[in-house]
Amino acid sequence: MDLQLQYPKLQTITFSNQLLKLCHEARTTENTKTLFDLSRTEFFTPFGIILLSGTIAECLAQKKLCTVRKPQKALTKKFLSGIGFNKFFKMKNGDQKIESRNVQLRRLNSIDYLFTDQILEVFGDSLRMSEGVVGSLKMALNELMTNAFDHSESERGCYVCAQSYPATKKIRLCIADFGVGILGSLRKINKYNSLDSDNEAIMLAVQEGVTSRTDREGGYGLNHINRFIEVNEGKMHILSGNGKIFWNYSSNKKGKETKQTVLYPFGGTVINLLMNADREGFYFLKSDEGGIF
Amino acid sequence: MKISIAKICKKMAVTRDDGEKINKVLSEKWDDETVFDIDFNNILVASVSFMDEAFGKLAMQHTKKDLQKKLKFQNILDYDRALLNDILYSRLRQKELREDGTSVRNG
Repeated sequence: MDLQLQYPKLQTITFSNQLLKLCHEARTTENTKTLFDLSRTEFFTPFGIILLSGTIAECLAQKKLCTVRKPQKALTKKFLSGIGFNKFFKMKNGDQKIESRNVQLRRLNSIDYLFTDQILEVFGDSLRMSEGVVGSLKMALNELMTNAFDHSESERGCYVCAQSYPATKKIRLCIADFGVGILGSLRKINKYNSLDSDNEAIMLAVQEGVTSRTDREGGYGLNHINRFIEVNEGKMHILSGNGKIFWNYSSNKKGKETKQTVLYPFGGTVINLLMNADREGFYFLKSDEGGIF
Repeated sequence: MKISIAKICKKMAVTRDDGEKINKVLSEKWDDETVFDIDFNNILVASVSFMDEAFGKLAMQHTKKDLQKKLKFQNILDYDRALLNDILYSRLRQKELREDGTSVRNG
């Protein structure tokens, strides 16, 4: 049986329900051939790129034959190639030069120190980032990669994609794994085995000291990222299983937190960040008690 | 005693395993040394996991005063210094809560 998936005009997190439906269909339908039809797509964010690429990679791992119908718009086609989509799947025109404001789409199987430095270097060329944003961007990448490898149990590592927008001085970063999800990971711990909702698990995971590690304590990474996004007046989405939580710290919606239950569960975890490159980003680390060192 | 983060961890001061290497050296020599000169070599670490494993855990065993007396940080960037302080405060708060819990249970 052939499956044809028609992708929408905008592949962004706002359309996550529609994109997750396509992802769910591709991963669960018993078929041998899948066509990912991107002909109508005009705009991608790193979230859209990662969800699409991760879904294709998961289908390929299931030995399904996948074909991609490229976007009709020349600019979108060029963008897709520029961000490394063609190269990632060894398609034609895979050698298109990576645009400097984009970070190449990557699948990582372990923490890649060079990749983190490459992201900082690429964004340093296109944006003037404050010292706090450089540190916090590196901190976010380090913690999100560590989480993906330590907790997701994904067989195929994690996917990372980022983009800078010089005109608005913003950075979008998305990292995803197709593993057990936050609820699945936390439930393995006695203390949390009565958890039964993905949103409850996501809320717990951003609290200080909450971890599914049994061999050592921890659980500070996501909490620090959330605190950084708050002072940076940015935005953060965490999507896992049926849960989706959106923290909107932009100045006019200070601290607004929205919980949603998605119709098509995502097997894994996606973390999507939007940060302001020109704002300071480490005042959240300054304690009222003054420094110990 | 001099400790170079770059020498012990190479460029890989990111994970809890990397931090454990530093913590091991500090814990093993804690009673023998009067001061540890820890050199960050001006490398941006920016890792909560590394900082917590290497230094945060020491705050669970030693007082704030002891930490200040024994640990000296050199060539550490402002961001990492702020991160280090934040993690140490988190761990000290955690220790206080545990001690309060213990005294309530024992009392």
